[in-house]
Amino acid sequence: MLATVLGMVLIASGTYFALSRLSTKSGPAAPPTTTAPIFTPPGTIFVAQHGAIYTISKGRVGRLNLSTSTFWAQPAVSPDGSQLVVSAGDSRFTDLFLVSPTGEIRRRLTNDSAREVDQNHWAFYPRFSSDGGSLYYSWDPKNPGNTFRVDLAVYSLDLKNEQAPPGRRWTEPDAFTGGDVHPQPVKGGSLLYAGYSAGSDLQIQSRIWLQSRPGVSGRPLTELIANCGSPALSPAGDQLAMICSPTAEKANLVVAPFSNGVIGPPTLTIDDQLAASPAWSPDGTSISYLAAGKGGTGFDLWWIPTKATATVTGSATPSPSPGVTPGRRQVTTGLDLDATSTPAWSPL
Amino acid sequence: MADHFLEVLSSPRRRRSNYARQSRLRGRLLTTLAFLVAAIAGGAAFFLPAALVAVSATSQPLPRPSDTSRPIVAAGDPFTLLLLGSDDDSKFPKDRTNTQSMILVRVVPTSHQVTMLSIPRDLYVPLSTGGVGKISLAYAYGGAPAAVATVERNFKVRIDDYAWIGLKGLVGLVDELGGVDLVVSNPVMDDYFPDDLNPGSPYGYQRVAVLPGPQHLDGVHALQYVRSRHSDLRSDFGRSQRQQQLLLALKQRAKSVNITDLPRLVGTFSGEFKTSLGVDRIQALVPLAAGFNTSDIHQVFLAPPLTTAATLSDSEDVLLPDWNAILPIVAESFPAR
Repeated sequence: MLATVLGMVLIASGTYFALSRLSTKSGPAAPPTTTAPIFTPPGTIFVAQHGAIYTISKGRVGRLNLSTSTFWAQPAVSPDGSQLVVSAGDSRFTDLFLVSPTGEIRRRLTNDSAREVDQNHWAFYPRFSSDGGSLYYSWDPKNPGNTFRVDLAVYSLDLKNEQAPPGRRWTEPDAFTGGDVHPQPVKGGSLLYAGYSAGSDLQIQSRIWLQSRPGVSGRPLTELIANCGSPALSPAGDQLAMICSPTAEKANLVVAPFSNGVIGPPTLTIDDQLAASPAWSPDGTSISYLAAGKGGTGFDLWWIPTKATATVTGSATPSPSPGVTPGRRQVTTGLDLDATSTPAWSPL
Repeated sequence: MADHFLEVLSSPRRRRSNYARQSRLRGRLLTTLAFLVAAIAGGAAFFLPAALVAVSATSQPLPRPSDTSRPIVAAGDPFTLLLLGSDDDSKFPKDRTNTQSMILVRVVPTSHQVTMLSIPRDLYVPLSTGGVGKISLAYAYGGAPAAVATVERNFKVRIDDYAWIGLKGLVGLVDELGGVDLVVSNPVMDDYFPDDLNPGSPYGYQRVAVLPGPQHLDGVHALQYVRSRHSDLRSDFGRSQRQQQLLLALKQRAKSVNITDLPRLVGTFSGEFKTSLGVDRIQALVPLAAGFNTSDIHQVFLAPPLTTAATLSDSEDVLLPDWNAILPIVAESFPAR
């Protein structure tokens, strides 16, 4: 009798827990350090996940030695790989910090926190100039005439002379659109960025702009209807990668030649993934980007060569991707990486 | 021979043996039955909380005494649903909240066509409860029946059912689905986003920055994306577009839900979801929704010149409808049966 009662209890609880386990909800993604990458591109790639910065290099994943009490994101690496700039903050503000490749803080670059909620600032999208001497980023200047207006504008900071923040203002964003993001310095001193504007149908979409110097009007390089942003210029400055969203459900990776301020016809388009935040390899032969997985588990890192001479190291397993694009490979799986943090690719 | 056989059968030893065998058989049957009952009890314990919430949240009455000619919607018939989303924080008495979102949805199951019409919350209209005011007040004055009646009278449509969800319900739903992947249309920046999900700060505000581009949003950030309007050129229209975008992302995500997810999902709705739809109708709609392609969904927004911004004498900002322009569009998208 006792055995039967025990058996009933076991079966009842077993049924309950078996049904619970069949449920499809997965918990938060594990830290990248708990799994090895499927494939490792050359060099070191910095990615962000849930407020921490990780490195992917030579088949291993490491974590930058940064405080766990702050939300870290949007790493940018200097051209020589000797230093990073990372954004840090909370739900009220973000600041930019100059850090070593292992995570030691060298200098705080902005002072964006304030006691009054609406006096805080955001600093996003840091990007080094090609000589590493300046930093470009997006920052929200306050508008005394209308406190509801919060639009990001592009600024630059002279790192060598330790210029005081916010530094030199470059762009004047369209009002109440969210503003100008993803600054991409060009050799010779001009600037590429994604600027948001409203079309005649009141849709707010982005274009890629080229601006020769601070404060002057820029020139749009893409049509508003193409809705392109996230510009990433190859190290040689002759190819531009970008994300174009012709509809609200699409985000295509597009690569095109770039010469004399003109974007040529696309040489590569990935349109079967929700692609985000492309970054060029230091040798300019491949691109890493983030793309959504099929199961709604968030974004993972992918890699694709842009030239036939692309070299690959550390390949341990065959690509799991059945994608139609030749050479495309998935680097991580199930990590829910921060898709608004462009991977930072160091030659070291 | 026969006598001998009967004698053997009726011998005391044989009778005892038969009794023992039958007793063992009965015991085994009872044990099997007990284990079966235990398994059913385990399953019932798993699904019972969901069933209780489902029963309490669904089949909410939608009394419309003046309308006795309303046809009953049969399976496969086109139907119209009013989706309502509202604040439900401590600023307001329970069930007396303003609706932040009103989306009229018409579904044609046979052709898999869906039309979604976002109704701006500041639309200045006669209310079914009397007087004139922003359409978002209808729910506060008379609950879902008043919101439905106000939309029906002004837009000249028949609404078959409604579904209401609170802010916390939306956050919980997105989180329980594991988040949504979508392309954030533009930087959504707001220095005065309501901090009312924080129970200690119903009148406070917080800063919000939802960065543009493809990303995976959890419930809190999805809510920030679809609720913020202060720093959007299009104010409520921009927000309406983002709300429809989230609905489509949720539809996509719902494809991966199975029956064992229901207790978890329904659990997040406790007090945060109400509908006039019955459980049976919801069961029929879930696979239907999963079968729709985004290309079959027609989205309608009442942007200018269909509406005009105005400030009333008491400094209230409203949207004035141009019914001559709006009603033909509505009649075409939501034809009477």
